[in-house]
Amino acid sequence: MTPEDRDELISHLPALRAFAISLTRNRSRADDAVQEAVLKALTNFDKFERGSNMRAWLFTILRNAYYSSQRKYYREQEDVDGALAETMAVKPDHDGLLQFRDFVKAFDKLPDEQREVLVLVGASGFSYEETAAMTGVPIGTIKSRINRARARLAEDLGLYDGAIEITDKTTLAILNRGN
Amino acid sequence: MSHDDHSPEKPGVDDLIDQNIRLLYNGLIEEGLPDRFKDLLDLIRAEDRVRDAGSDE
Repeated sequence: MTPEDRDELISHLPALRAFAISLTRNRSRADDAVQEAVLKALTNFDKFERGSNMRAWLFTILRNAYYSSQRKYYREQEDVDGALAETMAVKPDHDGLLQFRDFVKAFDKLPDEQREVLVLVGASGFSYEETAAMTGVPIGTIKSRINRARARLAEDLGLYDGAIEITDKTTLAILNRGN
Repeated sequence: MSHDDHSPEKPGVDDLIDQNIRLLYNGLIEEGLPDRFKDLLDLIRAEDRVRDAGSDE
């Protein structure tokens, strides 16, 4: 591992943790998952193909570790619905028609595989092809999961029921901050 | 998920959802790393030093 590799690895940790939190909906468990994934990455760094996408490699290690531990945790896992919404530090204080806290609660309720693809494609910037490779499923399945996830969120949030135009500048500024 | 063809003033349902996902994800990234990551960061840097030392021999 070169100093550049080390620096790049460290630079990916906040995003890796964000992905882990979106998967686990539990910060403590996410931190455990990230640490486990990084230790695996360090141990197996000789298998990393130089010039390939280290971020995708790290995300793949993390998700594989998460899903392999999922069954072990499942029996003792408390109901985490809404857990992420309860702990989100980012709570825009505005009156947009789509309230961010409501969105996070609805997001919390999505199945793992739907939350995962929404974050990987919608927020992390991975392509459909990269996401398909990372998750080991066909591109068509990725697109289908995204469509189902969006439809479920829209339904849960009542976005199909009426106008969804966002008109207040505060809401627009917050939403556009992530672009 | 590029939606450049949509006006930001009238985002569609998918755009609105994607914007909120980015808001959520970026908010989590902005949290940074908690103190418990200090040992891991030290380990990563130590790994580097160990390898460097080995290569110097």
